[in-house]
Amino acid sequence: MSAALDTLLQNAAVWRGAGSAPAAGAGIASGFSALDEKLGGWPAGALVELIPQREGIGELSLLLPALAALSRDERWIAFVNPPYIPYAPALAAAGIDLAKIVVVRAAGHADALWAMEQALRSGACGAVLGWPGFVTEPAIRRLQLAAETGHAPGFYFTACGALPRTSPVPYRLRIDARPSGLQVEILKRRGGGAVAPLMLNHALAVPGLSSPAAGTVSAVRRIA
Amino acid sequence: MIAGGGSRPQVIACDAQAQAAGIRPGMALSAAYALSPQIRVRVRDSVLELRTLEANALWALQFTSQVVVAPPASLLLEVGGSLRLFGGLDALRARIREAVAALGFDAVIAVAPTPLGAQWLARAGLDIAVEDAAMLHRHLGRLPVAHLDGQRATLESFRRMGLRALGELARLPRDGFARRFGPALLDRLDRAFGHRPDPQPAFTPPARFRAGLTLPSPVTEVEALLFATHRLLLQMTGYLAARNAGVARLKLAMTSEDNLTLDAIVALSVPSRDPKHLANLLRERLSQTQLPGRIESIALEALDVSQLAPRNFSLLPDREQSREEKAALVEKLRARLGDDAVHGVSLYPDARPELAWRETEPGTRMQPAPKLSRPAWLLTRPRRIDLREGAPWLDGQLTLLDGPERIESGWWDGEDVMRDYFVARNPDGATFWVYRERSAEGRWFLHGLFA
Repeated sequence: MSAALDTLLQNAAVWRGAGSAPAAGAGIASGFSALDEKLGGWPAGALVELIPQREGIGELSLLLPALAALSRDERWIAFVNPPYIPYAPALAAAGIDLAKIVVVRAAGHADALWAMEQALRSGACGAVLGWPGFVTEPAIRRLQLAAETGHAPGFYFTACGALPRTSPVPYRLRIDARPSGLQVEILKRRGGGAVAPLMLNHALAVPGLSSPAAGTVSAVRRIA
Repeated sequence: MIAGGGSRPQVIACDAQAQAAGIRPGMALSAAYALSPQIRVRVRDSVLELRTLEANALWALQFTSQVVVAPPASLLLEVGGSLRLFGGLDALRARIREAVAALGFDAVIAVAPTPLGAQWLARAGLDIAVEDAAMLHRHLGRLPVAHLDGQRATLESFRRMGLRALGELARLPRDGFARRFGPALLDRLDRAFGHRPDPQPAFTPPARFRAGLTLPSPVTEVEALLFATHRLLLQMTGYLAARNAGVARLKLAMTSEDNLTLDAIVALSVPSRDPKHLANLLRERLSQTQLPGRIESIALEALDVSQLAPRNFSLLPDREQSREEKAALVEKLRARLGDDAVHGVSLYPDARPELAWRETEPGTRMQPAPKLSRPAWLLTRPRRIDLREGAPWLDGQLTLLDGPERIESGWWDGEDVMRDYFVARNPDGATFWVYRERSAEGRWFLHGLFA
């Protein structure tokens, strides 16, 4: 392959059609081998939309191993408008260096998007997680550019209802809880088409508690 | 147009429109009114002039530590010691010229071996660099005698003796000159020509930077306000450069026509003297603020000033740069969203879950704590859970996966907690951190989500 073509393919803006391998190199290990195999890790300079079926099914636990690894680096890990308090004891238990966490509370939707964009663009963040509510197409494009500039992955969470069918975001993942673990459906990715939903071990969300899939269902107690 | 005070006010300066009407500087105000009754007159404010000059003296400290304020409109800079640092006289003059223009002033920059010489040349409008005594004699010699002394009586005697230029004065016999005009005048002439040393009282900068200005016309727009602030920022950064310092906290005080005031305070985690960065921070802060009407005057004050670490001696330049980038991001976010809107988190040794963490300054390092089964999301306030058929219900009946973990604490500060915590899951697969109060009622609460 010519050097010029190589350079071109390195460019994050170039979309490579289905059938080719996941973009090599710069990915950040997610901590889930099944996911890394399909995505090539979390993309270092791109936007990822995460769509949990509902709150509290383990959507954050999907990112915790990567955040723990990223927090060993110097850069910030920014939480922009999280819906709840990012609970320090749990983050610390997941191996995240709390000294790298920055929580940003923006009063409005526009300010939340602005803060995400600034954080992504600054180059000072290893990852930016945002809960902006909704994101319009122009906003997605701005955030994507900012992520490329700052070479950081930007994750934003949207509710499952009223999803637009198409979106310029390069990565879209739907997350659902199943009795056997966390089901991740890759709706869109770079360097490949749709794949069958992946099942991930759910145990991470509840540290210290083994996965129901591992045969601990008998420990479950119902309240009469 | 500006008129001087006193019993017989005079026109000191006037704009092009006034000149077209025939008005000239030096004219009596009454005569100016006669020419054009609708002129707008502003009284000269010599106090404000002096303050402006002093603010510019602070700014000039970035070029040399020896600055002299020479009212009404001159600054003297001793640049002999600065030439090497700035790469020669031409480079330094160019630098100063550029910086003066950025401040928004017109200046004549004259260089001479003596302070008086430089001052007179500049006042005469000669924008030149005089580097030796012979050249100084030539240029000073051509200046009118009024530079030496503006007293009417002295000027009259010069005129009667037919003396017009300073050079002619310098050629007079010294003892005769001293007898006729007094030794003080001879001394002054000697100092100008460099026959006598002329030590100058150096300007001592105040411990704190504060400079203000009155806007030419009141403004309501943030951008216009920032434009006006630019000059003050440059004055401040000059002052900071002289001290190899940066500002950590600065205040922009604004006063409206109705005398309402508003202070915008910007705090920086890493001190800076970059006028662009500071202007950006002020812009973010002001864009979130409602101006109290039409702003008439502003003042900039450096509240906290501290030394800047010498950058080039850093052993880990990448780390240093990353530290600055990180601080800059936090500042930028805070400038627009408010100081409280950006924080870090840390652990806190308290058994009560809601108190087991603290908001901190981002980047605060803490001791690691024992690992517990805790949810990634905590609710700001525990939320009451309904019971259905006696069992806790959150979009479906909850199944308890783990627990109870008994937490009893806080009896000493009245915030006592007696709870049994459980990990619970609903039929959708959402996992919750819930507790039951250990009281007669036994109410259930949601406290966190294992997201």
